[in-house]
Amino acid sequence: MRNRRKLHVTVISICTVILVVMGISFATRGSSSASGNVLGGVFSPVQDFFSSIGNGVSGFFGFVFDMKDFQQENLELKDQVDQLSARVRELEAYEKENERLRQMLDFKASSGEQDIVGCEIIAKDPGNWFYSFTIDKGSDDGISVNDTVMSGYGLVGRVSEVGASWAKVQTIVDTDSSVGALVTRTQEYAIVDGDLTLADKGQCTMSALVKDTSLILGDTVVTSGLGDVFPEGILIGTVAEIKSDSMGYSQYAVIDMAVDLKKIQEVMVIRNGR
Amino acid sequence: MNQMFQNKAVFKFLLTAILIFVLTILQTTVIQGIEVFHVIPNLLLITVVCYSLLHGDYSALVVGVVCGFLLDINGGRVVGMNALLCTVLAYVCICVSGSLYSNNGLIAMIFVLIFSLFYELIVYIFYFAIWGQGAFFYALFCKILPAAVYNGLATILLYPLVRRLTVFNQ
Repeated sequence: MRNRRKLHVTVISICTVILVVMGISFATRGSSSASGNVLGGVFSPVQDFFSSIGNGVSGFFGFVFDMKDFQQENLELKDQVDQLSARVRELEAYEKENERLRQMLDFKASSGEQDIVGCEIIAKDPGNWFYSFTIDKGSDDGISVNDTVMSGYGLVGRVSEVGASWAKVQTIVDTDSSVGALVTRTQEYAIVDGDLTLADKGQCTMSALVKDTSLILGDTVVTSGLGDVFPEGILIGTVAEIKSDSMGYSQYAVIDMAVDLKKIQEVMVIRNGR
Repeated sequence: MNQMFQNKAVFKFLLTAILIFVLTILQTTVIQGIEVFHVIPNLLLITVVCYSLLHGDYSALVVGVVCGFLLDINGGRVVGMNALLCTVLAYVCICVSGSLYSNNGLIAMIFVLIFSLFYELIVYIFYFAIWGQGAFFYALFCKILPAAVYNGLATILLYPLVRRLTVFNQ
């Protein structure tokens, strides 16, 4: 009986301490705790090693399941190669023209202004609800909270927490994420949010559209630069569906993310965001 | 005799610590490659339940707190959420341990399944439902239930491992 009472008291004490920690954690979201920093330092080198094994396991199962689609995909890819070759030639011409115009305007290329660092993904969120991951560089490499994270294909997310040798990245499909967006064709401003029901499919919603929006499927969506977190012009994705809200007052779109979050292994961090 | 008991206790502590460390690494890396229906098993949660049922003492509370904090530090949004849940689950397991044939793999599997439902449901309520991000049926059928079943199945592999590494004949 006495043992039971002692157990109850111990559990209540532990839970009280944890609740205090939760309160502190709420208040100081973004910066890393001392324990997080120490444990991050211990775990990150080992995670680095095991994440490569994880990628191998994932790649193997993916290969087995996708085998039947390869032949069809191969034919489609050959067609795409022809189309893209023509497109590349066209873009090369544009590039030269662009270069010439930039020199005339004495304009610095935006990529030249940005301080980019390449990082490897060493761990992913251990649960089933959040879409974040840990990278192998942190404040020692000049990374800070809210730095933009992208891959060669487009926007990935932002740095949400940073330790000395690691940083956590919140992806744009996470339900806490919100990105100022711009539809390149219509120049319409909107907001891209993470959605619990779409995140697993690599999709987000784009809201704040006008009722009679002229969006069409396949429209390209990029960051607008509003909100002071993400620099403008980074590709977010393309419009996959256009829907009306339940009241019929406004419309929203479902966006296919340009980046396949399940497959990325490396990302680039733009230090100091903008 | 006393020396032997102390050695066993130290050995048990070391093996438990190594087990938790390895499972944490696996949880954030290799396990991500074997997701089924977009869910992955929670190895640390399973360990907390299995260990607590097997031992039913204060060490189970320590395992609960440590595993919970490790889950918090490696993911999640608020540090302490997983720690609180794992501590409560460890406490409930301690209370039932010693009865209900708690040293039985099948019982452990059922407990893991039920506690996983509870755990995922609380996470959903705390992080989504109370902030107005409903989608309850999606969460139930695409996240909570599959995760609980997957955890239950993973217990078949993990329970014997936890038992072998942490339970010694006196």
